[in-house]
This record gives sequence, C-alpha cells and structure tokens, in this order.
Amino acid sequence: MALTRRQFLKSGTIAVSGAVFLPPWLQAVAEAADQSPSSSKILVVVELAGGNDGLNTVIPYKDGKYRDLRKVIGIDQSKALPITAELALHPAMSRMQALFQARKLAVIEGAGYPNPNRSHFRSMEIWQTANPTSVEYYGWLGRYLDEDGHPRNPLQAVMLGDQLAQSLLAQDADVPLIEDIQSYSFVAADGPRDKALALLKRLHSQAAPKNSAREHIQTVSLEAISSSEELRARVKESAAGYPDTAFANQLKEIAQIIGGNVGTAVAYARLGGFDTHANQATRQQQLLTSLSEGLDAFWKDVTSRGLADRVLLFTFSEFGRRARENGGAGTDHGTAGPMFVLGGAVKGGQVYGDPPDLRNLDGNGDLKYQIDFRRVYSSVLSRWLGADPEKVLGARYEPLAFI
Amino acid sequence: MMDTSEKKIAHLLRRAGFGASRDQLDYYVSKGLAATVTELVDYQQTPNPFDKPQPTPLGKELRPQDVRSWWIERMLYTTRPLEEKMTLFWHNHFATAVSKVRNAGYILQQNQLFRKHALGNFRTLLKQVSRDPAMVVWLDNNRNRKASPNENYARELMELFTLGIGHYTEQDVKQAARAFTGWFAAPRGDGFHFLPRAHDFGQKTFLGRQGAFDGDDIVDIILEQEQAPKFLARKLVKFFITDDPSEALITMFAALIRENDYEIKPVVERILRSEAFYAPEHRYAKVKSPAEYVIGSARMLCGPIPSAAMPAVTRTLGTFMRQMGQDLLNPPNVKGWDGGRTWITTSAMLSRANLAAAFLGGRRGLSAGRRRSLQGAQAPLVDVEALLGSSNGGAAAAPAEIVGRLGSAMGAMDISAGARTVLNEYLASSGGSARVALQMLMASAEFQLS
Repeated sequence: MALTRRQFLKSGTIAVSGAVFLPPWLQAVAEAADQSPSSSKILVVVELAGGNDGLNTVIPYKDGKYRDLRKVIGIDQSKALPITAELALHPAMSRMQALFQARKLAVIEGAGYPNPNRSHFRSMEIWQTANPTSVEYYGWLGRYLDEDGHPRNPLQAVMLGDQLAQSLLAQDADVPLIEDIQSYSFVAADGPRDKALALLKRLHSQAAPKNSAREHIQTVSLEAISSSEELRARVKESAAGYPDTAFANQLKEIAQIIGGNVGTAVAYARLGGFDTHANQATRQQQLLTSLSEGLDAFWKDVTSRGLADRVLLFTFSEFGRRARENGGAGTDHGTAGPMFVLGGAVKGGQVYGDPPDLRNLDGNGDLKYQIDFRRVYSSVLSRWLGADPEKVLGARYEPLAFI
Repeated sequence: MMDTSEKKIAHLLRRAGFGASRDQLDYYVSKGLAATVTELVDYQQTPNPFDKPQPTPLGKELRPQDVRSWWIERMLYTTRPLEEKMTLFWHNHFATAVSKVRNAGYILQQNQLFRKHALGNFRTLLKQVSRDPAMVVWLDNNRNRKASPNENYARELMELFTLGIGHYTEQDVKQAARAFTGWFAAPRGDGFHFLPRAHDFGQKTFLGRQGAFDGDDIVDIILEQEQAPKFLARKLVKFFITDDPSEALITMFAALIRENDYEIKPVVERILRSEAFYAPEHRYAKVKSPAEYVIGSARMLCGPIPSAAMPAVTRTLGTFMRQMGQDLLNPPNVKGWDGGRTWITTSAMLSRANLAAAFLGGRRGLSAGRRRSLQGAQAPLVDVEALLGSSNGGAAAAPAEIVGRLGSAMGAMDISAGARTVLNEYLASSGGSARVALQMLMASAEFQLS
C-alpha cells in the first residue's frame, strides 16, 4: 500500500537509511522510461493573471454591437484574424490562428460560473479551488494529486514561476516551485560541486530518531537532491526557438521537464499583467503576442520531442472584462471569458460554445457565462488524466467534446 | 550534553528572536538568563539604532517590495529582537496579503500597528485592527453596508482572530457584521473612515447579549467569552514553546491572559521564564520559518552590509524567503502560513542549502535573476576567515576546531555526533573547504530547527 505524504508525516514508518540514493519513486520512473513509448498523459495549465479581456481576444468582429461598445479600443475588422464566420482572434495571435487552422487548438467560449465575483482575488480562488460557493484551501489539482498521484515522486507536478498557484496546494502532495530549472538545483558554496553534493547526501543519511523532525528534514532533503539531480541529468535542451520572454522561458522549461521523463503529470505556468483598466491596446498586444508566440514555440518543441499526443494544455483567466470600454481606453472587471485548449488529442479547429451575446448582458453590463469552467476541469480529469472528476470536484459536470 | 546557561540563552534567542551571532550571545550570556529575558521583553528600554525612516506613508506609488525590504532591514539590525518577532507573530495572526490589498502604504501602516502593539494589549490591538485600512480592504469591510452587510470580517474576527470555529453561530456572524457596517477605509488621515449613513445603529443580539452594539462592543463581548483567552494562549504557546501543546499549558496561560486583562507582555514574559519553555523535548523541535531561517542566518553570519548594497541584499533575502514558501506581506490566505513541517518541501530545502552559496559568493549556479539582484553586493556577505578567528590566519586549523568555531558562530548550535564526524572527515580530506562545511551546517537538520 502506498503511503500518502500525510500518512508518512504522521507515521514516519519509512526509515532513512544510508542507501536511499535511488528512492523508490525514481526506480519506478526509471522502469517506466525503459518501456517506450510511455503513454502517460501530461496536463499543462496556463494562468492568464489579472483578468484577460476576452472580447478583444476572441472577437465577435462582425457584430455591430461590439463596435458600439468598443469605440476606442475595438479591433478593426480588417486586422482581426478570423477563425470562424463570426469570430476572429486578436491581431497579435497569428501563431494561434495557425494552430487553430491546423486543428491543434480549440476555443471554449463564455467560460465562467454562477454569481460571478469581480474581485481578482476571490475569482482567482474560485477558479483555483473549483468552488464558487465557499472558501477552500486546497486546489483542484492538489485534490487530483492527493487522489490519484504518486506522493513519493517530488516531480509529479511542477510549478514554473515565483509563486505557487493555489490549484496545486494539496494535503499530501508537495509541488515544487521552480523559478527555473537551474535554481531547482544545489549550488556549492565553494570548490567542486560533486564533492559538496556527496557530502550533503552523507550528512542527510545520518541516523535520526524515528518520526522526528530531523528525520523528516533529512528525508525531504534527500528527495530534493535526487529529484533535482535527476532533472539536471535528464533535461535536454530545446531545439525550437522560443521568444525571449519570462513566460516563454517557463514553457520551455516545462517542455524540458516533461521531455526528461521524470514522471511529471501536471505542469503550471503563469502569464500576468492582464488587468488593463487603462490604455489597454498596447499592453494587451504585448501580452497576447507573448502568449501566442510562447504557445507556438512550446508546441513545436513538444512535437519535435515526440510528445504531441501526450500533452494537453489549457489557458484560463480569473474573469473576462466589462463589455463596454471605460473612459480610460481600458476595461473594468467582468465575468465570463474564453479558454484555449491545445494538444495532439484535442478536437481542434472548433469553437465550443456560442459567440458572446452582447445583447443579453447582466445587470452590470457583463457577459453571462455559457459554460461552467468545472465542465472543462471535469473533461480534463476524466478524458485526459483518467481520474474520477466527482471525487476531485465534489459533483458531476457534463464533459465537453474537445477531447 | 551538559545543559549550560549559554544553551538556554541560545534557545531563548532563537525563539524570542532570530538567533544570535557569537558577539550577541556573549553579550547576553554575560548578563545571565533572567536579565536577558527582562531585556528582551522590556525592549522599550533598549535604544534601537535602526532609525531608517519608514518609506513614504500611505503613498500609492510605494511598492510592496519597498515595505518588505524596509522590514527585512529592520529585522536584520534590530536591537529589540522580540519586537520584530512579535510583529511577525501578528502578521501571521492577522494574515493580510498585499496581493489583494494592493496598497503598499496600507500594508506598511498595518506593519507599524503590529509593531506598536507588539507586546501591548490584545483588546486595543483588535479594536485597531478592526479599523486598519489594510484589514478593511482585505476582508471586504468596505463593502459592509447597512443595506447589504458583508460578513467576511465579522466571521474571520471570530473564526481566526479570537475564538475559533464552533464557538459562535451563523446568527452571531450576521449580527456582528451589522455592528461593523460603515467601518470603511479611505486614503486620508489614518485611513479609517466611519460612514454613519452606511452604519446599522439598530439593536443586535450577539453571543447572548442585546444592545445597539458597534464594532468595539463586539470585540469586548468576544473577549468576555471563556474561549477567547484559550484561543490566544494556544497561538502564543505554539509560537514560543511547542507545535503540540498540552491542554494544561494552554489552561495555565489562558488564566494568565485573563488575569492581565489581555496585556500580552506579562504573558510572554511568563512563557519565556517557564520550565516548559526550556524543557529538553522542546529544544530543536520547531521548524524555523523562512523568515527565521533567512534573517537568523544573516544576523549570525553576515558582516556589515554596505548601504549601497542594502537594497540588493534585502531584495534577495526576500526572494529566498518566498522560494522557501514565505512571501513576506503576502500570506497565502487569511489563515496565514501553516508552518511546522509544511515548511519542509523539496524546493525549500534546495533554497535553504543555496542561501549559503549566495552568502559566500558562489553565484555561478544561481539563476540569472538571482545573480542580477546580487550584483549590488560586491563582496561575499560572509567572511569565513573572520568567523574562524583571525588568529588562524591562513594556517590550517584542525577540522574539529573549524567545525566547533562555525557551530559557535551559528548561535552556538548543537551539531549531532554523526554530522560532526562527517564534517571532520571531509575537512581532513584534500580540498576540504571551510566554506562548504559552513554550507553543510546551514543545510543540516539541526539548523532548520529552533
């Protein structure tokens, strides 16, 4: 019986011996890597933080009402990049238009939840915990990892960036926050690194009282060393050229980590800065360029690594923005917005849901949601990760057909 | 190992402060344990040479990073370690995140509030916190109007700040929320703005009492509850003595809280003089928080930091804390950081081991961003030769002596027999480096513990 991390913390039944240099999780990973090709699925989540303006991302470009609402910041019909008869992408997203046309990319329109909250903080919490009605601590991916994960593999899920997403907070699983692969790695204070590292292993292999804090610190330290060294050894440079942005770098390192076959099932990256209350045009142009070029480079990289059919990526933002622009050439907090799904197994080149209905806004002048985001999570859990969505989400949600 | 006054004082300084450098420890040992406790709690008698003015108050242009760096510098140099330690305690008790408040001036003001009442009166602090603009924004009290009450503050006031779940009803939450209606924040004056027309002046029934209560009355009624001193006692005992306190210990200090009408200073003083505090099973039994680890290491090991390098150094120390799981001024939620064993994660342990490399100038392996942020600091922050004693010069000291001196410099830490053997063997081998030995001690299990 596999011990969960929580059980392990409590019982302390796993002794630290001097010979833990290849922990059991790593043996399992090594065996799995030998049986090629591996079939395990990988989920990549991309958070667009700050509330992306969905109406200027997937644009109802022929709708006269859109022009009325967006006199200053509306995208010219001639510049928008069509994906269907009624919808077009922002001009910065030519790479994503191509991915859509190649049927690798799908759009989910009007994703949201009932009684939308317009606070960044609370709405982000709702998306992260998949609970719009009460405040929860653990994230939906954390609950998935606790249910179905491999608690002794420190690399089963990874967060690239500088702050752990609440989605990944788990009771048992410990998800490392990796600013970059290089920093998830031991740095010697002096002299040859190998020698210092060997010393550190010896230090943490000393006998410690059972179930003591010392024992726990030593166990986790040895896991840290083995997982980071394994990562260093297995990571292969990316051939594809990535744009020089922090976001693209996160995606590049995700491709390197999953390409290293260390048993990673979930990876998470964040692109921030979407809170465009004023002078939206320039800022959103930059951000969507970053998104589109980053995803394109990532997709080429993943494909060249032979992982296209094992990777599924989706994007979300805590809310979309107000349908009518404000007086400062920007937009205020709104409600529902589009999500993108990318992957070899995705039924791409399609839009799930109807174009935004600008004639049927709520009392605040915001879009009404069409698709509960938990249906997207449910689809990913059941059809991609092979998990029981009800256990993770606490209720049944009808899956969508994008996988 | 023999228990000495030095060991007790070292333990006291780890828990009531951030650990002590060799010089600081010598100073306190010469005073003796009892007088050290007195100096720590009567810190207002100790001049604090840290007179760096606070960054512009209530300025919207102030960045969270400015406030964080200012606080980190304070913790590094304070001569009143318990004042900053209690500020950290209140920051976790009334956990408020700048990510939602989005006003660094408010956060600075709150941090000063915690410092001002660090060992003051809990009743006064609660009433001030209820008016604190950062808290008002954080728990949505600025949306708490007579016509549409918002229960967020009222609920957390009882659940997380004073009583704990199960000691009040949903009806009490609703009634308390009414009493706090119209208690708003505004970016002027002290930031508190009472709006009479949004306030519900009507009768309320709260925890069995009736009256036209306002927020202050609610605080007073809460503090009359038998549970309130117990709740606070548990938090303080957990913070200072043990993660897993006995009910007897809680009851004892709860009685003391009530006797002293919520004055914190006599309670903390009694904790720091208690037998339980020094009990062998409670030593090296709490995991240091990232703030304790980073600030403590720097206080023990780093020489004077040139003022030109200070912004880079404080920023880097803040980054290390964040990577270890504690983004100062940005707790994950209103419950604060869970602490204890949850601090121990694989990325945190790598980061803890790598802090030594950053201190000692081994920056090759650090990430580009970390390297960039350290460029302001020209020289290594830790002078190992100085720690080892100048008398050694370049001459090779005996391995056991090197390990002994390093342990002594690191707050007279206990080093396990096994670790001592491993380090002695390493230092005796060719190419054995005192810098690496220091890094190993910083990464050792003992040094993660307080």
